[in-house]
Amino acid sequence: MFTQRMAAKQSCLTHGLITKLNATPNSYKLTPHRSSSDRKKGSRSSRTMGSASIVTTPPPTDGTPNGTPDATSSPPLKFEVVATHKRARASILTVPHYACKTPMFMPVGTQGTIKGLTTQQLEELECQLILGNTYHLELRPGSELIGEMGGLHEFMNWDRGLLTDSGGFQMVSLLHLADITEEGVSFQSPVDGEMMLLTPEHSIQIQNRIGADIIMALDDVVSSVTSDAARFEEATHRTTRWIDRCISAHQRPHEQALFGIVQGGLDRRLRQISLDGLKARGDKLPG
Amino acid sequence: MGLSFKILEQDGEARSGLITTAHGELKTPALLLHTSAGLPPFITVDNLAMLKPEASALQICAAQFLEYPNPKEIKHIYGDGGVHKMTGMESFVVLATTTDSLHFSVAKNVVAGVKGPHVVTPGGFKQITPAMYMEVIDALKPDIFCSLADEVPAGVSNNRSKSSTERTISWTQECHELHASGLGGSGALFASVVGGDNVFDRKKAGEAAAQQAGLAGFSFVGFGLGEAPEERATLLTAAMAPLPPGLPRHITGLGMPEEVLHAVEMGIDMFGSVYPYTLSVGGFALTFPVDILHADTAASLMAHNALSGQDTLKINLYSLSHRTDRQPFLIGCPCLACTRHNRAYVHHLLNTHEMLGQTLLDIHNNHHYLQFFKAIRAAIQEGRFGEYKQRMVQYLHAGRYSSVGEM
Repeated sequence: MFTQRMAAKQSCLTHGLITKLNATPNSYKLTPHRSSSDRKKGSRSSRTMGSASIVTTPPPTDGTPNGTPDATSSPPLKFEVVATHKRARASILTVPHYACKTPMFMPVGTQGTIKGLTTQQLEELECQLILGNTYHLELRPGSELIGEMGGLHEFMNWDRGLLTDSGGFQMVSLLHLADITEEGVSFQSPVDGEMMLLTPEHSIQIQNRIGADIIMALDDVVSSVTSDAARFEEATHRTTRWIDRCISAHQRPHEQALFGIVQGGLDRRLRQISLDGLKARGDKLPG
Repeated sequence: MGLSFKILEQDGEARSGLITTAHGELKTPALLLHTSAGLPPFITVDNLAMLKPEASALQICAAQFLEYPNPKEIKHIYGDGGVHKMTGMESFVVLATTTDSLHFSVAKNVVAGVKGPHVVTPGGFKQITPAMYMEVIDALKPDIFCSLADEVPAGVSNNRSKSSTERTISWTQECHELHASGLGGSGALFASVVGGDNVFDRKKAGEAAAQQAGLAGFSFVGFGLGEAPEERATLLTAAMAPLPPGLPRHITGLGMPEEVLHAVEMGIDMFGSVYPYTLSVGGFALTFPVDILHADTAASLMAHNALSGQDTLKINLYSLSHRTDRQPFLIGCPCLACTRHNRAYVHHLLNTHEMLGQTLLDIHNNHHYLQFFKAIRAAIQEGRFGEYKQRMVQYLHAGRYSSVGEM
């Protein structure tokens, strides 16, 4: 059963950030697995350094009739572990705009800029991937304008990796009267005080317009120091339900890698439930 | 002395020249970039390097080096390297003044002391004497330093104007003596010429400076503080008349294109100006055609639009008209901001109070203004400065009474 699980993970999985709790280091000592699509494309050779393994997403099941993926259905994320030390791993995380070496530091470019630095200086600093903040960018200048201007990469003239968060955290931390229901996060608009609603669908649509390489599912985020156990339980299951809504709403699955977020507070059982839920979504969640 | 000045061409009273120092050459008329604590506020060293070769001089404010660190500490850490080593600006000519346009407190300095003016420092308002000033200069070792000045604005009483003139003459002599005794190393001393808006005092200050020993040039101080342009011309003429033509003339407080052109026409060689910086802070990008002798200005005049906050000189990046504007600040400008970014992005940065907005604007504005000075030099060398000035002034005024409408 253990090997079955390993095989299943190997065949359907692309690990991303540490947000996904993973199995034992042994999983990386297996011989490399390559999907049939990779062999056909003749893509990059495997790096068998003993403990290295290549893990990619297989072509989506709703792909082209002959099963050969074309450019539009290629995976938005590739993850290649090139060396390990116990649980640590050095890897190459390839997203549409850049092949990133991990572990990596991801500077925060909240409002479409790293404070005070030009994108040229960022390149000279060997920056690989930066974060853009969905909440702030939707507020100003607006995701529609960013989409009109060709996406955030073009708007800020940064051609390496970009990641956006779901916007949910700022809602909860920054705004008055932020309330989470099954529908979404309702909050008071900071512009005019009117009540507004951020749903999983809406969050993904905004992130689709911004166009980052990696996007985040909207999760029901609860502070780890909340004392209400029932709240953690609710948030864990709701997050999983919201993942499905995010997956359905995602318009650009081949250009943007959707990441799920593990919830569960400090409760190991809930964390495992959450993780299992994410893993069950398979290739729909590249990270 | 560590400075030499050669006049290359003369066109009326305007002249083009070359200043040579230990830290490089400076072609005149020259723009000295504004700094705060030794560096341009928005432009880091790597980006500043991209503004070369035109960017070759910086103007620093001695009052900012009285404390945190103080002269003793500066010497201890940087030895003889001074401010050049401190800021990493070895390839720049550095000129030091007592204070600067942004930090000068007009109200407070009206009541100055006999021993020295009062300057704004990080530690508060302080009186600075010639001895203290020369300590700072000795620690910083700039290529050029102006004598300690009692700067007064236009509109002060005759008594005040008189006292500021007499004090400055006396402090200049003291600075010279301290310089001759070794303080300030091989830096060059410029005499500060004050006088407020009093023609008599300006003349007196000029005459005293002409007779002062140990000088490498002159610095005209107290302009751009409320005097009318016509007054300024009279005052400058009075102050400059007694001066030997072979030494460079520096001025602070001026910056607008017309002011620069008028001053160049009168024989000023060096301008320490906060003008590009204040435009950047305000969200403006310069777009006026510097090559006015050959430029087709029709397009610029057509674009001039009061509704978008744009005039013949500059555009206003805060304007909503730039929300989705994919153009650079100025089409054809080779600066980093114009080649890598567009107006829509900078508009967004200004809206979100992101520093990169001002950084990009400042890179552009300094580049553009340095090109303006380059064009001025070329016009003088061609013997066409009068024509250049006339065309530029005409262009700048063209929008004022246009049919676009007064707003």
